[in-house]
Amino acid sequence: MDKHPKRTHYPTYDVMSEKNEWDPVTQQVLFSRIHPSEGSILTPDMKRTLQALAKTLFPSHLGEQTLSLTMVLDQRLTAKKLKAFPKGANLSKETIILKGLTFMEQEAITEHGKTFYLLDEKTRNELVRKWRGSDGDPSIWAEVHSDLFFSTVSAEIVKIIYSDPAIWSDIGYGGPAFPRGYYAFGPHQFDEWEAKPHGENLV
Amino acid sequence: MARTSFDVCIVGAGAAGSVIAAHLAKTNLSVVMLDAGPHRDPEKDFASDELEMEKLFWDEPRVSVGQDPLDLHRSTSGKGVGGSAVHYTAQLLRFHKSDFKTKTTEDIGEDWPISYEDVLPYYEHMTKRLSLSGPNRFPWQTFGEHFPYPAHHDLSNNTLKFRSGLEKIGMKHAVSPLAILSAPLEDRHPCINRGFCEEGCMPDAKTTPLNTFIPEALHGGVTLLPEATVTSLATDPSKRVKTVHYKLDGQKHEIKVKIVVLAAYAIETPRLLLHSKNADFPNGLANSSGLVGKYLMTNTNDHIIAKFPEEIRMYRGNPVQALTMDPYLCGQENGFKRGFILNSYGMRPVRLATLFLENDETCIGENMRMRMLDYNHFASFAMLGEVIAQASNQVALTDELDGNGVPIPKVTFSYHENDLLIREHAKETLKSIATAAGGEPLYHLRAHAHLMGGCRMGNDPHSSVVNSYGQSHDIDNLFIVGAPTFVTAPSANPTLTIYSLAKRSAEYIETFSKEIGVNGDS
Ligand SMILES: Cc1cc2nc3c(=O)[nH]c(=O)nc-3n(C[C@H](O)[C@H](O)[C@H](O)COP(=O)(O)OP(=O)(O)OC[C@H]3O[C@@H](n4cnc5c(N)ncnc54)[C@H](O)[C@@H]3O)c2cc1C
Ligand code: SF4
Repeated sequence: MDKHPKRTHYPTYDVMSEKNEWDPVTQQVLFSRIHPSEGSILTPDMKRTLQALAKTLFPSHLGEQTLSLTMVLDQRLTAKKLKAFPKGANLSKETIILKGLTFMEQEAITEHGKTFYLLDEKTRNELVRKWRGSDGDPSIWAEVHSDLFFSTVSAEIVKIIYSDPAIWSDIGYGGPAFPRGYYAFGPHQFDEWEAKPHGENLV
Repeated sequence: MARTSFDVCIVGAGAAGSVIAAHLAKTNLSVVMLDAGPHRDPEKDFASDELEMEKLFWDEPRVSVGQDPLDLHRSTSGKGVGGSAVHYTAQLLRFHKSDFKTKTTEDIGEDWPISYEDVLPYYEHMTKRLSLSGPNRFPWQTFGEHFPYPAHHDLSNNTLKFRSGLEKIGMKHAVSPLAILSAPLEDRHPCINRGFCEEGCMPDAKTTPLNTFIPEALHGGVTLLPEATVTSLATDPSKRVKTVHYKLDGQKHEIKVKIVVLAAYAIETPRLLLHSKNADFPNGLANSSGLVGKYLMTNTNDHIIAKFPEEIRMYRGNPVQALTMDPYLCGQENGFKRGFILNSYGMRPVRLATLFLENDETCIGENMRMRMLDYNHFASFAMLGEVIAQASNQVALTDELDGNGVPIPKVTFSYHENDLLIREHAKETLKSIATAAGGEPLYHLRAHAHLMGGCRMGNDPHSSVVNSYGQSHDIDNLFIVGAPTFVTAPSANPTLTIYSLAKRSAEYIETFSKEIGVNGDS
């Protein structure tokens, strides 16, 4: 079933099983990430486009994720977390992402007569490949070049993916560690609540 | 705030500003300190989470251009009481004697107007005041000694590998001098190795302005205004600074003052000076030299990620635990100038994945997944490299205004060829350490840390902005403290020097206030 060339070293580890050990603030932060309240910046169309885009860029991670990327990103946009400019740009991350999502739709409709999220996988991949490596069609991507949009949106998606406890479990990351901390130190020593060392390491 | 007139106004409650406030709190001067960000309580406002704690970084728009545009948020900034020192990794080192005279010793950069010996008493004071922990005998004594707390003892696998690699290739190594408690201090607990130093220390084991200078300042009667962003300074007909304008809760306010201390770090300090230009100071305040904003510097901070057969788990323990300072001046033997230091440097997943993507745009999807699945087998070792000051690396203003009506800053930055030679040499050294330790060096991740310069100190008003106490050459009641006054960007981390020089400035400001007849009656 697993299409991936590589599997997790920790198939049974679940970082969330330890959540009662975390401080209340961190518990709350994680709770509202997993069950995000409705944001108010992304339109339903933008969310569909973003979802389709995430599937094209990160097909690898989607089956393993528990977070709704679009909800979390919308929540971050609503909380004004994306006001800063990416390097080299004089527009905010928020503007770049919102405009880019609109331009993606525009080009998909002009070129293929369908919105991006209704295109087949192959066409989506081709479009994304073209956009990522270039400034984009100047009649559409004038205000925000397509490669700037892609580097900006990818950086945001990566942050959200690696803030997902399900992905933490996959990579064997211990996650929040207050008030408990780490006490077992020395080669091959880990605290008993962490992921168990996987087979090949038990020397 | 009812009161609108103070003797001293400090702009920015970070590492430098808080030291000034704590010192002046013991005088009879009336002092107000403003910070653009909130006054946070570690237990209530921090979380063990990278994404959430992004809120500690500066989040306002800044344009970053040049051949090597800088990251002006995640790795180089702070917003809120305590400043960037709230989330520093707290490796605190003294500078080397030669750092203060690179022009004389290696004919590069510029000499500082002070020497190591001038700063030494303040280094000694801060070593105690900050309860630094460190080895009994630090192999590089001029960088630190007599640490009041024992060296950090729970060393992570990441650090053990780093030290074993160094040992095998014949380099000296030691546990880092850290502003992190290795034993209890009054009601503060020692470090629990939780690893989130760059997200703010919830157990309060890390020594920051929030548990030292800020409470001391408040106890001494300093008025602290969090979430108050200073938007400009105004001068009076005698060409002294008279008024500080700021925004709080969306409203404009002003404070009448006798002395102003700017401690708003390396971008906001020059930005405020340039924006506050007026008929008497057409190029901006304190800028008769034309050097406000110029000679901005950073430190290169590249990582080598090496894969080991066994699990490392670099998330365990405080990120920076051990170092070598052997290559500090290695340039002389290797065809370049100055040098670098090396650290073990653990990263949490968001930071690592972000650096993977920033360094390789093809690292998305399956590529990213494959790399990150080996997260627990990675060790991360880093260099901290000296960067040479160049006038063309600078902070200027754009025509676009931010939400407070202040022009958005534009930062231009390109590395000097010497910076690149240091980087290359450090990369090869890091790779050999990783290999010697039994790892396979797989990825070289370019990054940088710390900002310095932009209002350099000097004796000559034509070639510097402030004197060695941070006093403007042009406006005697205007002081600039902290990172912006640095003349060079040594590879030893900057903040012990920032704290120390701020203490030295504070003593001078106290004396100066008496000289100009400020006596606490504002
Ligand atoms: C992730 C990270 C790790 C680090 N690790 C280390 C380390 O291990 N060792 C080391 O020596 N250094 C380290 N540093 C660097 C260290 O934090 C800085 O050198 C130091 O805090 C700078 O001191 P400062 O007082 O000049 O500025 P800051 O501490 O940044 O304080 C500036 C303050 O000014 C405020 N401000 C800015 N503009 C305005 C305005 N207009 N109005 C009101 N307030 C304003 C800001 O909100 C901020 O609080 C690290 C930094 C970071 C970001
Ligand atoms: S590792 Fe230690 S100093 Fe760092 S955040 Fe955790 S308890 Fe604080």
